[in-house]
Amino acid sequence: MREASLALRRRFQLPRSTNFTLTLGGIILAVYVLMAVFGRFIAPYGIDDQDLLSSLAPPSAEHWFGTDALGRDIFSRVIVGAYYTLSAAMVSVALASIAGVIIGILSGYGRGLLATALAALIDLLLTIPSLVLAVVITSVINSSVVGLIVATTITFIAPMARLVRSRTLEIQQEDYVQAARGLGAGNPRIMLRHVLPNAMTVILVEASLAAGQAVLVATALGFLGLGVPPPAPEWGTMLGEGREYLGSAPHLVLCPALAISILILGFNLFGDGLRDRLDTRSE
Amino acid sequence: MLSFLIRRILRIIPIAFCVVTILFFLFQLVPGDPALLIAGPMASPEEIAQIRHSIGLDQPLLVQYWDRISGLAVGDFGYSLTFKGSPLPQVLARLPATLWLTAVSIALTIVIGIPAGVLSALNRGRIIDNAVAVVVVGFLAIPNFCIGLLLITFLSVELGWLPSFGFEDWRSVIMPALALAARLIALVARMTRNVMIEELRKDYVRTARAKGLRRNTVVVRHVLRNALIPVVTVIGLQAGYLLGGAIVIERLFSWPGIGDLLINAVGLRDYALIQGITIIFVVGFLLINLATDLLYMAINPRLRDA
Amino acid sequence: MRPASSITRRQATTAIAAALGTFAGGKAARADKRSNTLIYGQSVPVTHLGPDYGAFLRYPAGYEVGYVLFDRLVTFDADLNIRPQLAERWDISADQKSATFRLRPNMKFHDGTPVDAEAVKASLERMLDPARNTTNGPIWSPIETVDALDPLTVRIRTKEPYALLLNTLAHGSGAIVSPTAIKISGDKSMGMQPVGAGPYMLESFNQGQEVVLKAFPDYWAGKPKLDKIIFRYVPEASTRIAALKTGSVDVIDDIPPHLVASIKQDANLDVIARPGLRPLGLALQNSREPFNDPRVRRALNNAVPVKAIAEKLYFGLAHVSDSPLAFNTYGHKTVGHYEFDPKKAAALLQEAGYKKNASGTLERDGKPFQIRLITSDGMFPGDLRVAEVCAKSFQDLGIAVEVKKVEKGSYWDYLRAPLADLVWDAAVFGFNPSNGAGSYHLDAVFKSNADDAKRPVSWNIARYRNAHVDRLIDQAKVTVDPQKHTDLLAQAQTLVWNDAPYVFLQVNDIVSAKRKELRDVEVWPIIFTITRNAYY
Repeated sequence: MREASLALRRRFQLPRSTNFTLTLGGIILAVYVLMAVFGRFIAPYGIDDQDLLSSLAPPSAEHWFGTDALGRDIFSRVIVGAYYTLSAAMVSVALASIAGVIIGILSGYGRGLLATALAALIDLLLTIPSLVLAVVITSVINSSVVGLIVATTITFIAPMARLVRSRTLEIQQEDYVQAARGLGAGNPRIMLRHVLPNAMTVILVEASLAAGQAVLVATALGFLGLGVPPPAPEWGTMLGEGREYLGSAPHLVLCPALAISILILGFNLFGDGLRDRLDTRSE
Repeated sequence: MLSFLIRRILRIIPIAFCVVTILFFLFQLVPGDPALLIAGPMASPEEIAQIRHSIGLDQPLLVQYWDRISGLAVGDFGYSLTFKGSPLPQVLARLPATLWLTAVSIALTIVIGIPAGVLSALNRGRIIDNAVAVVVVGFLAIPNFCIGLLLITFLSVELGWLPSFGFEDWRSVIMPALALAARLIALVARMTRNVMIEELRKDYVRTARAKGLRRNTVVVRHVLRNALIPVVTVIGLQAGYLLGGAIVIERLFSWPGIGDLLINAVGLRDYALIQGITIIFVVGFLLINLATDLLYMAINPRLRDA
Repeated sequence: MRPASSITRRQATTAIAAALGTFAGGKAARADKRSNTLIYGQSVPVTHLGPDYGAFLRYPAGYEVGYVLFDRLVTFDADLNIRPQLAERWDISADQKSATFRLRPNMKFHDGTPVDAEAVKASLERMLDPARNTTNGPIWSPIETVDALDPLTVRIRTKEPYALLLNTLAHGSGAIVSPTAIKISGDKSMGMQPVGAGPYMLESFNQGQEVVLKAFPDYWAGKPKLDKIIFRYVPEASTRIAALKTGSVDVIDDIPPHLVASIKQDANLDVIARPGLRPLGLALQNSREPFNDPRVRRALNNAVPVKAIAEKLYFGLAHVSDSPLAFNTYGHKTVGHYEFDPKKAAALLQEAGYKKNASGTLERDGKPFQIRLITSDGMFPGDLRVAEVCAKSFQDLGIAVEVKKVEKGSYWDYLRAPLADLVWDAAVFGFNPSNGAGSYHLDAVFKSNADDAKRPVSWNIARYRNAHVDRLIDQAKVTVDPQKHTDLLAQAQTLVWNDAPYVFLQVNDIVSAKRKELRDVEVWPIIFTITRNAYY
């Protein structure tokens, strides 16, 4: 990725300091955030404007990406649907990061039973493949926006916690931490003033990349019919419904699939760019 | 070596029990009466009570828990709503399909990913390198079920080359395995490329070239061997993705494996079945990890004595 | 106490054998015209093959196997008329409370036991026992006794004249089972080891996956035309269609309307579509606000574009309802038509006291018009879509609609909850009278409940109450004369239609498909695809 961006930079003769991936990623994310917030005003049609007589119409001038089985404009539904996926991804990663940080630091820093127990719990949860865990959690909660966020959040807590834990263990060995301890600083103080800030870089990068994964998990749940219930225009659910009509009306899946992919691309670029940026800075 | 193997395999058992414990208490959160679901909507209160007794639901919670755990040891996974009895035979019957799908995906990853990475490394900076880079970015951004949908649309609907649903013959596995493997192909290609570039820079390569050996011979003999280590690592790390992704791909392609069965079970709230399949996924995950560790040691003899 | 479930070695071996079979190529047995086998890809798995203890699960797949494995005293033909089977003729007594059946001579069960009056008596008496007949009790309860007058004569007595006696005997649960098999293998053995007198006998049963039947050479009507019939569970419609196209199955059922076109294009395949017996609609909670007012219910019936739904959503494979019963149900009569007229609907709502408030929603006495509509996803064809269209239609009138999707596994629970636990005002629902009888349908769905607060005893989930309708239904049950019987049903249907306890939508076609060279596959309106007479 870095090579590619260097090559592109050279090709377009951009100044060295521009972080191409970070910028591009940021722009994509910004566009999606705008869609999520202002979707209803931007969309040409209402998400519930049914028109049975022109159902399953292929892309045309009136409907850029065609209509679905109930005659609703797909493009409009995708724009408004950004809200569901984006909020699920960002909220769940934020919550998972917070929980992961707390659990990770506690289990990495402490010595006692709590630390060991938490570490064992993290490792245990990590043996369950993430999508399997998400699916199992949806089986005990109701399908709703909250449910989707809960399932996605829990999926990411263990990986985040594990990352924070190993970073915490690393940091503990650092000189300045030993020095601080030698000077008599108490554990909470060390945790807050030394461990946390230094773990942040890792967490931020990981969170950005995890957000892309969260989009995948959330839309996969929707595709499986376990996400936000209809008639909400959630992208994964739209793909799931579109799958039935692949033989006769393949255009149904085009717009949501594009939307999902570009969003994940945005998060990936942003995370990679962030990693490059923070790495060079810390060197 | 053998003791290492035994230790790792034995470790699976307590992990499985812990997962069962988590699931057991998780499923207690669900409101509703399993006996009612089994009895069906037309049952009388007496019938419901009878069913509740026969499944042991009228016992205190800890007794039920002990029953579940001890039952696990003899393969008793409880009462499945879908199959009106033990879920195990049906789960085992569907397992090979999932195994086949995963195996072919791994095979495709190796067969496509490694050569792609090698080509990129050997042609660094040129068109083919950039082309592979673009494809890698694409495969990492597009979710596997989206890739699957695209594959179906073009290879099945438009061109009619490949069957898109079910497990009919040898051609059926191609699209699902490809969709599932896409992400791994991308990661393996990228990693192979990076590792190879590192290796190509090393002294022994220069020495070998200076001695007159053709570049490709050098590549195959030394560099590739060292490049395999991270590849095995990637596959090991992505085991979770592979198993989880199988669920979605199976659903998309109506592939008759246990992932598809899991989704049915969730829809029907068949908790015994959900539990059984989850355990299999966990065990599978641990076994893949074990396999990659073993491969790792085989490739890198230095680690064997560790 | 241990939970009661265990895997037998046999089950495990079968499972592993099937597994190896899938591994080797994805099929357990390929359709091979030369070997004269029919393979039927079913949409629902078969888990129980006996007429008792749950009866032929799951519906309809188990019944479809049952109709091939077992013979009954009488049977249905493709139009649901009664035809002789094990009985060659019968008489109804003058007081209409008993029927005498003459059996054919020299008939045998699959295990060689002769089919005589004692065997028939034993079989039918099992169905009169509620402990054994756990799901079809209502259609057997009017029968009082079964007697074997001589080895070939059976007399059945009912408590009152029972108009549906023949329908009950033709029903799947009327299957005559071998008493010897019960004695040897146990009272519950029919579920896994069925022994009947039908044209095909059991060869193997992989529960939930596949049933293999082979021809019964000693069948009373002569050796059957096929060597084997295999029933295989193929859950996804697209997979079924793909399998049919490649030839790995020969018959499939439950084809969604939007996929029918792709089958019609194939010259080797035939599509069989017949209107089913299950009218789909929205059950409305009649016992409380807002649907305790018939004007409101009628208004909703005027608000939904039923014709557009039938034509566009179901691609023409559905027909607008004209009665609470389906067209092919015995006793159906065209009784009404609700015009799609949103203005009329709005006017009716206004008449009922609803006015639009500032934000555009309807209100009455300060309370907004809000309803919760529940639906499952796939329990009934197109249920989710239909729910969305209806919700939109109601929202256009100013009603606030909350649509809730319920998983299939819990849907019956939601529908049949006691009043205190009821969370819905409208629910997508359709009842299928499995004996084809209108009086059974009306009785199950529209007869007043004994106690509305409790779970409905049968399927009156709308908690509809009309004493006049109740009287008509009760009278029809004991009226054996066909003309009088259908007249009573017609009156009942008219009353129900005008009361509009449901939003009546449409009757869906049952769509199955088969390979062209296969003949005599019947599709019965009770959602059964019958293969027993098929041949190449």
